Amino acid sequence: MVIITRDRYVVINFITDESYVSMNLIKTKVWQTYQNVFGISGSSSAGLYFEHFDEKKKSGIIRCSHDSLSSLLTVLALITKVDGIDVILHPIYVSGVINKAKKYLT
Amino acid sequence: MSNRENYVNKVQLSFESNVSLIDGSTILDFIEIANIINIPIMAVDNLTIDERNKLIDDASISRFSLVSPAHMYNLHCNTSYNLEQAITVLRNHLSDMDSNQHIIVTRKNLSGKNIDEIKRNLPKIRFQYELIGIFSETKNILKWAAHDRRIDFFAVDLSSNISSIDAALCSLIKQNNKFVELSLASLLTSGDDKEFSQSLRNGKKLMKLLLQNRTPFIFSMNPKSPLHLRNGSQMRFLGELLGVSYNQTKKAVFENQFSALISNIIKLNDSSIFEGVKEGI
Repeated sequence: MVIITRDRYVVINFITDESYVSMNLIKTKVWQTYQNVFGISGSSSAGLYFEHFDEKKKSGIIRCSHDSLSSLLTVLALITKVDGIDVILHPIYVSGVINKAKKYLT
Repeated sequence: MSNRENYVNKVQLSFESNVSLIDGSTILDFIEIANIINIPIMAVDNLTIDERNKLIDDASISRFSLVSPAHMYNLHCNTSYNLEQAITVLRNHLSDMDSNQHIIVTRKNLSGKNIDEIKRNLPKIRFQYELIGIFSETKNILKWAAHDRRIDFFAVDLSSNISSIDAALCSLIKQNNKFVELSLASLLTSGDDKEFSQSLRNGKKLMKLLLQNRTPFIFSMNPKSPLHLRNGSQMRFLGELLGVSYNQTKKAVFENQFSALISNIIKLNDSSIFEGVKEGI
């Protein structure tokens, strides 16, 4: 039997005093924090995928399975620093369709 | 998609009840971040009502408009309104409020070694602050404070010893319509995994106790830096880590703090000599 997973797309804004934050470092930080809090098993079932990132606009879209949405939002709230830079990863919109999520990219 | 999943699209009113300005950040730094993440009300620790009013005048040249809760109350509520009516009217006003407008509340955190010291300090600060919280690890002080009508919040830091809070105290807090204030800052600022897991363990233990005794509680971030601010929805998701579901924390990020604030504003504005008796002309 084929099981189709339902995905959620979370549009996030990066709020920071610095003009530039490396997206790779943010991706690593999200993965790392997810694994710290929910373990390797949890992060593997979350289906995290970084769909779209814009370093200039300081925004991006993270895809996850609909079961892990609340865990991902908890992880985003827990992150305060990326590579020594104070940052808020602020979720602004959640959608089940990527095209709709893209409209909310600042 | 369920309403719960689409939480970020709905307006979640937030109340940050304990902002400290000890790390060199100014109130406008906090307001700037609060404006982006939608926090319309902030209570600033150790700021008296006079200092706040001066701050509001000084901030009139900035792009933000700061107001005091008393001003908002006088503008939108009649003196004939009871507490529930006032809360409903002001809540509706907050939902329609301009996004650049922010309400600044004054707050004092009391801490003392013994009951006498707190008894001496309380009357001095009574009319200088709109909210009063108490932080202590001594059981006797907390039990005494639970009976005192001037105290609103019992502040608890998850990284400290929480054994002073037991079922008897929870029951007293509930009877006297006060709130336990959980500071979630230690979840964000813990230095290593050991500290983080200790804070989580304390938080889970405390939440279990509060839920068992149906004690009202509130969440605060207690931010030292503006980038440690989190809005109501984010605080509710952090609450999920402590073993309390998203729906159970509905009142913990705005309603409880707001009702305590409005009830204090009514008390401070009231010209009664004592309850039910007003001075005649």
